[in-house]
Amino acid sequence: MKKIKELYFKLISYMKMHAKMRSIQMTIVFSFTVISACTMGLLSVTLYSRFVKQMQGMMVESAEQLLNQTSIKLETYLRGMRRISDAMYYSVIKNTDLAVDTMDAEMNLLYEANKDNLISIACYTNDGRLVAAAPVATEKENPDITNQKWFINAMDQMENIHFSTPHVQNLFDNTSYRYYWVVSLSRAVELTDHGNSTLGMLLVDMNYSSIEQLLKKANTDNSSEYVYLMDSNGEIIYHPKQKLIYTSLFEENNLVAVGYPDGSRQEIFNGERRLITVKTVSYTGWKIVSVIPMSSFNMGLYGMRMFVIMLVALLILATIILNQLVSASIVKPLQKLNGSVKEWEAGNLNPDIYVGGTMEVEHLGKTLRATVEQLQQLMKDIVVEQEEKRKSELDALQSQINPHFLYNTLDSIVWMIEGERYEDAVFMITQLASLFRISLSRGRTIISIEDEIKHARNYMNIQKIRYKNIFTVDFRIEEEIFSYCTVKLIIQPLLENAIYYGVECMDGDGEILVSGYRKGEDIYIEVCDNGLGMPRETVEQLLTENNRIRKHGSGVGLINVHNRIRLRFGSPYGLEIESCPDEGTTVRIHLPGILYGAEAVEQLEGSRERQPKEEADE
Amino acid sequence: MNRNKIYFSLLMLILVIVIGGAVYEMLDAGKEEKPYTVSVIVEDSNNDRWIAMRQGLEQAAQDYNINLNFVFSGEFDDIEEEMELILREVRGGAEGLIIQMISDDEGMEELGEVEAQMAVMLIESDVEPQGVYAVTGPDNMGIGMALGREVMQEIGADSEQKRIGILCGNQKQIAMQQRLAGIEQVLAEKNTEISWVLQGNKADMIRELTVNNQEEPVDIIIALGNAETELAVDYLIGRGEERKENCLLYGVGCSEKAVYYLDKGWIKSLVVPNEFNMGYLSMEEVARQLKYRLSRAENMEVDYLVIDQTNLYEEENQKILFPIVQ
Repeated sequence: MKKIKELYFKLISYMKMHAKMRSIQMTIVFSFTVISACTMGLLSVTLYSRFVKQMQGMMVESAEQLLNQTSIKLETYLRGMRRISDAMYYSVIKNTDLAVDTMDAEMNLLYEANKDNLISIACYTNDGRLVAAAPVATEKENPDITNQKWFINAMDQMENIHFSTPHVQNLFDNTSYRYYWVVSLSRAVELTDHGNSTLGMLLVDMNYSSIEQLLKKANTDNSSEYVYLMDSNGEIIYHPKQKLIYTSLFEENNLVAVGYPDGSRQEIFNGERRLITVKTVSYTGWKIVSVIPMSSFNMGLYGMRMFVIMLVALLILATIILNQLVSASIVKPLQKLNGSVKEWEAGNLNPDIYVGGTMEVEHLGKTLRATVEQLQQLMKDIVVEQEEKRKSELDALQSQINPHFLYNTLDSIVWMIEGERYEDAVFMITQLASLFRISLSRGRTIISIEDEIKHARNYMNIQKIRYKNIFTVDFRIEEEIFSYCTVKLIIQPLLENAIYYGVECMDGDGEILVSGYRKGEDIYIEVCDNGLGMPRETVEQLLTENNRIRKHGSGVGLINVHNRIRLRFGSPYGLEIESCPDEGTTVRIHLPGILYGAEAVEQLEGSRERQPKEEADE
Repeated sequence: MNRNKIYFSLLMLILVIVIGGAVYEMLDAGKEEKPYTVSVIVEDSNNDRWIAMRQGLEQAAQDYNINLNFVFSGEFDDIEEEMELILREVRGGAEGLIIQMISDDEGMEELGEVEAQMAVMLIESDVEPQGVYAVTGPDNMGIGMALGREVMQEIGADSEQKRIGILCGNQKQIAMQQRLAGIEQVLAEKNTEISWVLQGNKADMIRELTVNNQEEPVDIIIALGNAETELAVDYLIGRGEERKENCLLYGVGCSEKAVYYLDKGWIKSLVVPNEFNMGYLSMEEVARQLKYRLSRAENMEVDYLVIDQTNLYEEENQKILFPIVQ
């Protein structure tokens, strides 16, 4: 019981585990098939067992009918034999005085009338002397009549007619070597001799083959079912395998079966289950027994069993196919919808959402499609918004440069005019004009490095005048980098910082070196000063927007340049600062090596602006 | 193909196989098995002595669904004649053979070839002392000894004075050789002298018996076979009723004639082999061989009864001695 429980729980947990992993279709097909198969199996077993019971009932009924018929025939036959005996006794023997008459004629007549069923009729005295016999035959030399079983039995129960079991007749000599199997019907009779009554014995020997033929008819079937006959002591009178029983090659349960009441029952004999039906023949107490081995009954049902198996298998097959079709019609749209969702999950932002199937699934599909569309719109909106924000930020940064520089330059020019240095002022204004021309660059943000350097030179020319050449500037630019792209106005803020924070206080010893070179695929432009330098902590804060230290001007120079480069070329690029207190500062601009040209300019200028626009158009 | 599809296909396949199998079995269940044909070849097939054996054969043939062909034959002149009959049955399509061989010394090669091809069972007598062939028969040595003991019981202390003649039949048969050896063994124990031993075929034997018994009359004749017993009875009856007590006959046999003359007192004692069992068991074994081709037939021994006038009608003896169907 415990083991069954464990097995049950294991099965349940296994099913639960697998149910999670199965598809809906598999779950539907599996559950429906299991339920259908169980139902059909149960139904088939029930119907089959009912059929078997009914068949058994019919077999019992048919066996009883057969036994009844056989019994009636046997009773009729035995009644006939008794009548012969009665006729012989009451009509012949009782009317014959042996001293004056014989009974041969009447006996012969009776014999002739019934000789098909008779072997002989004989009358003996109580000491075994033959009185009369039919047919007339020579008596054996010493038959020892009084010791024969039929004689003894009849003498024991004189009031009855006695039926013997089959035996070989041992009365008359038959020169054709024939020995007859007979069933003796014997009775004690009163013989009259000289008017005196004496005890005698009347023997009617029935031909055993008549009984045998009668019972053989009940055994014509070739199956292993059979009918046999035994007397009230269980001794076999007829059996289809009588000789085998006599020679111990076959066994019968007759000695037990004789105790069975009339009717049917099952027994197990020699390991075999058998259906036994017993019918008692009236007067003689003989019993006819029908034996139906259950194996033969089962053999008869074999075809039926196969038919049931075939039917159940066929129904299960049909059910599975039907379940498969029905579940497919339910599940297929769901699977298609699931496929669409999986596609969406995989990264396709514009999946083809399936809409179809049953009403519910169609509704789901429609809702999902609308959701996807809404999501797409939202994402587009966010992108456009972000781009707009970025652009406005860029514009703001760009616009932060111009006033800052203009303020500085104009401040210098004002200072020159105030000092009546008109030529310097003119030069400065000329430089400023050149500077602005480059700054404008027809509104483009991307210019060539050559222009940018030129712009830087213009700026430094202005500053040198302003600062009365208290510092020197040296430009060491490799010519090959002139033709590469850069974001405009990125060197100027660095120079401005180099002046303000580096060399302004150095009283003529300040040196600023602007160098440009190419390293690998990238371009580097360095602005080095030998000014005051900065501690490491300050350097680390310089490019951090939130913690920047404002000392001079607007204070947006370095971070502004850094952001602009990163916004345009990406995060790997921008500024790198190296500084050491009292030694100077080097600010390095790191740019990608992109050759300057209309196409490159257009791409760099438009890429970040065009993309959101295109997405918005879609 | 995913796992579910494999399981599904497998399930469908199993169901289709089950349906196919069930249909086949259903149609096959109604078919009757074709019966095997087994031929039985014995000498003088119409002789009464075969009645009981034939009953046994028929009963077994019915029980095991065998088509029995009890081949008609007369007395064989020699083993060639019998072999010819055997080969004719083989050519005629017999699938099994039950044979009473009349000789043990010739034609064995051909019999060996036949035995290799089909189920063969010898009855009553072996043909090779080494036991190459399967045989169903009585303990022939035992029969001889039983006869000898019956004789010795009758003559008792006078054993040395009594003259004994033996009709030992066909001594080419191992069975007859064994029976003779059995008798000789028992008689030798009591120093009983055997006046003459006659063998050979029936025609020669009746002449030899007459001549030998005239020249050297005996008190007891022992016949070792059914034919010899009947022949001796005929001889004794032919000599007249008064000789019944003067010359006692002990025989082996199972024919109704032999039993009749036992009943009449002409035969003092009769040893009756259980020939019904011999027929039934031999056919049963052949049927088993036909069903299980690779199995080998086994020797089977049947019992015998020693019958005299006092126990002839005993219930148990009746059942064996007298055929039920007349």
